[in-house]
Amino acid sequence: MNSELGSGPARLLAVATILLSSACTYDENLPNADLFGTVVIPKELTSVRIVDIDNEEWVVEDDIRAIGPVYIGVYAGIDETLYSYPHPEWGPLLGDNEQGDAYPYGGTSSGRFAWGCYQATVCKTVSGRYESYQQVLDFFRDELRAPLLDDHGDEVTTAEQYQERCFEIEYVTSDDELDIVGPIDFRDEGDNWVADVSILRSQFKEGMHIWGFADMPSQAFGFSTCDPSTGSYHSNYDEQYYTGTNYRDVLNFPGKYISDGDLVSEVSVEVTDAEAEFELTLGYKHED
Amino acid sequence: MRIDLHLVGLAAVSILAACDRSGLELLPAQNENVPTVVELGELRVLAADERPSVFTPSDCNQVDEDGRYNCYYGMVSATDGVEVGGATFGFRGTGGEVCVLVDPEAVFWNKYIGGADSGGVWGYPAPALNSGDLDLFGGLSSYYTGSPGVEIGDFSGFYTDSLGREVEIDYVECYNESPYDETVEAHGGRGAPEFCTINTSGREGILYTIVLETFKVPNDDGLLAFGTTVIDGPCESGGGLMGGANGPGECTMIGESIEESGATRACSAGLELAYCSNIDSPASARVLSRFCCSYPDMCGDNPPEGICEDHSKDVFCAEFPDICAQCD
Repeated sequence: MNSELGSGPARLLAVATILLSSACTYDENLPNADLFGTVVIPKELTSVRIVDIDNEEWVVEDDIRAIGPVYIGVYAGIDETLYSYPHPEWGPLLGDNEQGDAYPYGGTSSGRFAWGCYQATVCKTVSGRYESYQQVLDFFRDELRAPLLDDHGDEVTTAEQYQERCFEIEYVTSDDELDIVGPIDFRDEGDNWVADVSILRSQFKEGMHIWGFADMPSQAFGFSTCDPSTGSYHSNYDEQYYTGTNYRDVLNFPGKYISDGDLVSEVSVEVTDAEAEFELTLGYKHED
Repeated sequence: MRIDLHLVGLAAVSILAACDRSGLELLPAQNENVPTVVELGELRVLAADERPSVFTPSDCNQVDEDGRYNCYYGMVSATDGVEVGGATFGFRGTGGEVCVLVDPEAVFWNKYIGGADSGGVWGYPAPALNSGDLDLFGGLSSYYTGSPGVEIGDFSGFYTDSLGREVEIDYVECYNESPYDETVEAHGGRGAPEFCTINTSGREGILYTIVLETFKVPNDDGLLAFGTTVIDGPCESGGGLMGGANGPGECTMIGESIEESGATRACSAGLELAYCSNIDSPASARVLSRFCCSYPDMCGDNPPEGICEDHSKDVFCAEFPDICAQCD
């Protein structure tokens, strides 16, 4: 029998298509949600005081290249009593730990430690902070007063030289393959730096809180959330070292890593509607 | 298409023939005279000046007036393959750090297979059938989910956050280490000791449970013998007892290879001492290979070609009398 759907195989194909299409409407009712929003950092809080080995001091004023990774987590609640700033509530203290695990529902970061092809950049450069190689060179030379040096001890002066170094040791052929340069995470909105963030596949419970902090550099331009003894291992003749990466439990034990100068969200965002966009302001500058 | 029935038949026969090997012979048989799950009771935490320099069975299995063992040598049987087997015991927190050590029988090493030194230091194959593996972990007894002497459990529990979400938590406070790997939660492997440091700060007198979970039982008798002890102080301070660089080692406890009768297997302590001397001596001494040549029953009587050439047991025993005293 032939119908409008055609003969045997064609009819089977049509039925299978209809069945597959209907399967796509199935809701698994997973307790997860994708959360979208922005993180706001007041510019007035981003100045960083640098002290070199000769005790000379200066200030890097309002420069996004001095902002470390911004960590954003989703937590059951916020406790005002644990630290001098609001902090995610803890679970029980276990073993030797002096702090409890905050057991995040989910989280993300805006920017991550991205090695800048020279040892001097280990745990000092972050993705989403430099648009070009020249910006990296300028920042280290002018703001940190520590120009990047090549393996002969000579200053790296041109972006082309820097790019060639990265391409050679990272075995890449385009800037897109490197984290160190690329689109900037933050946009300038008057008094604030604002970054879009996505927290994908977070567990969801109505009333949970979005909370975060920005890891700001120490006086020696070090970041407390970066572990220089881990990450990828760089092996190139006499250059033998780890390129550094973040500690793996930053969102579980954020209080362990928040140090002098870090920016913390004073007011967390309570999530009642997973579809609604959030805005998290890191408006408190922690001082030890 | 015609199907060649001869080919089908040949394939069927080949497949059936391949099934004549089940692999069951590689699994140790359960020993019905020894339980698979054992509760040892309570062990006393030995003070640093109480512990022997090297533990032997004669130092252990005595109880004090409170019924606590000072250290323990014992055994468990292989399981039926479904049940989890092992041993448990308790100790009370001192308020400081304590070191928990277990050494399963006996000793095992990787045979050196390189060309340059195949007849040398580690050239003699390790005996494969007489070693086992116990995995060590522990925590507060109040969190232990098993039934001592009946069923091995763990230390998992649940934390409920302020929104009512349940988070499963591992309450283990003893993460095993191995003398061969500085990584915490590193499994020592067959025959290798495992140890952990527990900080009992603020928990003086509180009962802890230690679990020695059966991972591998020797094939030769279906029994996994072991020695275990608890020493006051962190495991690092136990170094130097012929131990590893970061804590106790293979020769902190010797003689743990115990037969069903309860007697220490003859010469097994000598094998352990030879192994440890092999680590501590210059490579040229070839202590382990020479021991195996002297006592082939301990390592297998099929040495690689040339490894026992010109070997003299008398010369070896004159050089290492303490080792030979364990065997002769």
